[in-house]
Amino acid sequence: MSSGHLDEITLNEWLDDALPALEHTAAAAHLAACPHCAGRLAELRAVLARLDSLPEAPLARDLAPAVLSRLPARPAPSAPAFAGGWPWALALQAALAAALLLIAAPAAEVPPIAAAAADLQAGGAQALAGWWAAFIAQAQADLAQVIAGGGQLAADARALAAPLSQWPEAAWSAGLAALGLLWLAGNGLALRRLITPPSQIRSR
Amino acid sequence: MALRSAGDLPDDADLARRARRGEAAAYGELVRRHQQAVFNVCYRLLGHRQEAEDAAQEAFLRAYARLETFDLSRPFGPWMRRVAANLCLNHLAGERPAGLELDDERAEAAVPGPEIAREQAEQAAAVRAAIAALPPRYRAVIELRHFQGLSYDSIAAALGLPVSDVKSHLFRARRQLAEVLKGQT
Repeated sequence: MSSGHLDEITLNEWLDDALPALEHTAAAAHLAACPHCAGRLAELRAVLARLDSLPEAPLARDLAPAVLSRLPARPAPSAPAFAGGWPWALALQAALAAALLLIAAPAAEVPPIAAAAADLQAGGAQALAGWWAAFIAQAQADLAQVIAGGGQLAADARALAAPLSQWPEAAWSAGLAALGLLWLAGNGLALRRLITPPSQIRSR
Repeated sequence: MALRSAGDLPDDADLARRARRGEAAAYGELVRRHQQAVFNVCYRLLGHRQEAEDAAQEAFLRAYARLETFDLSRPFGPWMRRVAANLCLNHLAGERPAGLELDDERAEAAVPGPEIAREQAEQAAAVRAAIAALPPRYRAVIELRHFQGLSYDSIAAALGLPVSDVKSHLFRARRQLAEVLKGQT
């Protein structure tokens, strides 16, 4: 308030209903008693009324076709980490890993780590080769035992498992190495998908 | 996918969601719904019909590029008008400081027609001319406060000004409008 009258900012805040409660009450009392300020407020109200009276100007044309013709290609929304061709790869990896577990897990009981370490110390590489041969042989035997011990499923699987016992040690070694590599590669790629935004993967 | 089915129009949030996924037709529907309001924001701020149409078009393109930042829980219209206002204000900041000459509504007012319609058109032209004569920063606060209904705080945030500047710009803008329009009622 200046010179006993409401200042212009207060009048505008009054119009905009932006005065705090106490000031609003004080301004209301002043406006009721002061014709000068009431007149200034009326002038301001007239301005706002003129603005209110401004009609919407009609738009002469539909902007949509022009806008749509200029829309940039929108990047695909962030996809789940394993969308697209990933599910089959993960399913394959899971199946192979399960097979590896089936073969290898029982064998863990056969060559105790300590014994293998002692053999290694005593006989070096030759002992390690012997341990590996024993590991494969045990895995084959355990696989056959697991399959034979099952019910209906085992009967179906027995035919599939029969050729496995004929595989040479080198084939088993190569197969296990390939599974290991697949496991490493699959998890490495999956991790990359998880930590890298899809857009960056695409742009590389 | 059809955008319209009898009695079951998708709401703006749904259209914006689909536009985000790259559905151009959904964005086209949003443009059609809001183009009139967006054009009027641009027209009030720029004062020229053709410029306003171009600016409205640019505003929709800019909004599309920023669609990820739009809060789907809030109404699309005010956000879109804000985008348009910002675009026009940037345009004004880089070009003519003030004093636009309106080009078409005066011409429309001169078209023979019913007396009342002509008088209304003349009054609208006078108001537009008065707004266009304001310095851009005053025009901005009038647009955001009066036509978009923003609070002082929101205007301050939108324009990057202290609230005290918003208040002073607003009262000076209204005083200038009052002086210009005083003799034209």
